[in-house]
Amino acid sequence: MTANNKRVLIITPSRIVAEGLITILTQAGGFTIERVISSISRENENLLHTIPADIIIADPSMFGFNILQTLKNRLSEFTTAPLVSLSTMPMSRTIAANFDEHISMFDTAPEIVKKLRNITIVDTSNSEESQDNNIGELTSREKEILVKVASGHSNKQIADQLNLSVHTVITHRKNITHKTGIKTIAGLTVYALLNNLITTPNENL
Amino acid sequence: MNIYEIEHNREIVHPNTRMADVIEADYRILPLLYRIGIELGFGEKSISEVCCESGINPNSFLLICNTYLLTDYSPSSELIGSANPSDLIKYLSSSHSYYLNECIRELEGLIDKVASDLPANQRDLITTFYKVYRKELENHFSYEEDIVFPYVRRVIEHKEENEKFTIGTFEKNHSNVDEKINDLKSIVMKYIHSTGNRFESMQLLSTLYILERDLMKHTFIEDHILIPMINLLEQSHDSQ
Repeated sequence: MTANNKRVLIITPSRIVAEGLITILTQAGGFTIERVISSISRENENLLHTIPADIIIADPSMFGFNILQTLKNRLSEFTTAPLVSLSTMPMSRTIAANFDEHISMFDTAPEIVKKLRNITIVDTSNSEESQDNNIGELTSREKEILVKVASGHSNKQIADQLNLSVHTVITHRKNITHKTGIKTIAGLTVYALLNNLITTPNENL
Repeated sequence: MNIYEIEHNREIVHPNTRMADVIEADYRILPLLYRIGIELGFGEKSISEVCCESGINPNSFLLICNTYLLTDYSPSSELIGSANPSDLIKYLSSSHSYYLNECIRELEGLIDKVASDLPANQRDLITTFYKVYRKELENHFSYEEDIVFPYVRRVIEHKEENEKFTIGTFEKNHSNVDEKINDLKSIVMKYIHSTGNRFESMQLLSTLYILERDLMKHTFIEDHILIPMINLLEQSHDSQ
């Protein structure tokens, strides 16, 4: 197992599918299977936070559209890992749009491996200062963004004010939540006040 | 390392499991017994015996119990179809009073104690954050008690008629009530320091952990058991 291996999280109710995928990825090399989970519930959503993954592969047939949207939002709170569909049957375009890449039951092993390798090539153009920065103290940029969040600014407003992309602001916010363990705006406001990042409480509390 | 979670759909308790063994397996289900109305002193009786004596459908008990025992539970539609929706409503409603009367009161005492030792500005922050949360929790529960549960009771009695409100309306509006408890946990654990009340601080943190898990399970029961159950009833009434 090398340090450069891509860490994979598989979400499928099918043991056969999971075992098949694991065999393909293990034989190809360059992948470490972190965990296989059979479904997503409120309970194990929290567990997802603790599984380090570079790629998340999920079977779309197990999600209704609403659940998929929720999953996508939840995932985006703490990871930027691409979400790959592993389809066992055809899916609608709206469902498909939620995934960053698609693999099918009928893809050949080399096709699957190639798709998964391509999708994890880091796009350095928008990685800015925020990649691999989700442990330790808040950076000065994160504190700056936290203050704006606590003052009631939206992601879009913060992006405009600091001349960043909304995507980057969201990545910073994920890192802030990951480091502090605080999810709500009210909670983040308390954090900012306790740490003297802002001095006056506001209507968010 | 075992990369697999608990096997999909594995229900670890059965109607014939002894009640004492269920508690032995995970004592965290004790508040659940209290809220569902099962009393201690049940000897060697099985789940179905104890449930029948307490007037509860054993399948209703299994659904609630498995939710608390398993991390990755997906209840089967057979079990959902064979449980009694009135048991669910009674349980959920009694849980609401338990949270508001027992948990919140305990939490409040601990927060007051821990906050009393903090600088005034920090004390005000923590208590305000908590009070706003308590209000939100009360509103959340009263919406369910005043709108959702009465509707569900009408569906159970087959007395609903062309109502605008359906269980789908509830599904859409249903929000989480555990996020701020999670935040308070992080704040108490990492960002305040009540030197004079080390014991109470630790008690407060464990109470928050217990309450957060309990509220998550509670929401799971509403989203993944109550809603599908009432959906089925609505559909069967529509097709009549």
